[in-house]
Amino acid sequence: MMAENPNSNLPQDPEYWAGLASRIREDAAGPLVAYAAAQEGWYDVLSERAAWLVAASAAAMVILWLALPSNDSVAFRWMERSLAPDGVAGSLVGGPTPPSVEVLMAQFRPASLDEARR
Amino acid sequence: MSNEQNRTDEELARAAKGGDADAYDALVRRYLRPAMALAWQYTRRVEDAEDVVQEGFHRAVRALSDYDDRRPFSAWFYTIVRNVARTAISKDGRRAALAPLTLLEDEPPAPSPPDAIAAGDVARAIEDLAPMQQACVRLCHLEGFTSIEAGAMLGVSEGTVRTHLHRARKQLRTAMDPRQGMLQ
Repeated sequence: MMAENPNSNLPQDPEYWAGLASRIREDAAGPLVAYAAAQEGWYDVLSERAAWLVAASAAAMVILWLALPSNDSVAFRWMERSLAPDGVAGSLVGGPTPPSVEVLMAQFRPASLDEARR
Repeated sequence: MSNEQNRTDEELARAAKGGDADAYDALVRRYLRPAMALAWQYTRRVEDAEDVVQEGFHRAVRALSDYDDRRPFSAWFYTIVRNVARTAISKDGRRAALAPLTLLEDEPPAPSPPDAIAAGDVARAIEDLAPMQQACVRLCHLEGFTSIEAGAMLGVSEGTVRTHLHRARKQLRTAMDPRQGMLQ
C-alpha cells in the first residue's frame, strides 16, 4: 500500500482500504476454493500416465522372461534343486530322528567330488 | 506474509490459480490502490471507482484459470479494470461525457490556457488538459506512481507516459504563466 498522499483523489483512511480489500477477498473466496479443489491429486498424475505405465510394465515382463536362465544352465540347476522336494529336509522336520551330519553334508557335496573319489 | 512480499506478481497469480488465498491477498494488497487510481481516471468519483475495482477483481479471480503466467500480471489485470471502467462509464452517459479517457495518441486539442488561468487553480488547469495527459499527470504527480507504473495501468509504454507528461507540463506552465515554478 502506498504512503499517504495529500494530493491524491483517493481516500486516505487506512480503514477504508482495509474494508475494501476485505470485501474483495470475501468475493474471491468461492473461486479460490474451487481452484484448490480442482488441483490434481497423485492419482490424477498416475492416470495421466496410465498408458505409458502399462507399456513399461509389459516391457519389463518380457525382459524378465527373456532373462530367465536356460534349462541346462548352472543357475537353473540350482533353482531346480532348491524347488525340488527335499528328502533330508523332510526327515529333519518330520522324521523320528534327525538326519546325521554325514547325510546333511552329502546333500551339498559336488557331484564332481564323488566322481573323483571313484 | 514476508514470503508473499518476495514473490513476483506472476508467482502470486500462479499460486492463486491453485487456490492459494494468501497469494491472492498479496495481489489485492499490491493492486488495490493502483486499480482505484486507474478507475478514478475514468469515473472521477470514488464510489464509482470502487465499484469498478470490485468488479475488476471479481472478473480477474474468475478468469485466473485463463491467465498465462508467462505474461505480466499487471498488464492482464489493468486491461480487465480498464474494460470494466469503460463499460461502467458507457452505461452512465452523463459521466461518460465528462470523463472520456481516450488512449489514442492523437488527442483533441485542449481548451485554451487562458480559461484555466481565469479559473485560478491547478486542479482546473489539469482538468483542461487532454484526457491522456490528465491521467498521466494525476497518476504520476498526484497519486505518486512512476511512469512505468502509470504506463502499465494505462496500457501504454513508459515513453508514451513521459511524452504525455512533458506535453502536459509544457501546457500547464503556459496556463499557469504568472505563477511559473509551481510545477517545476
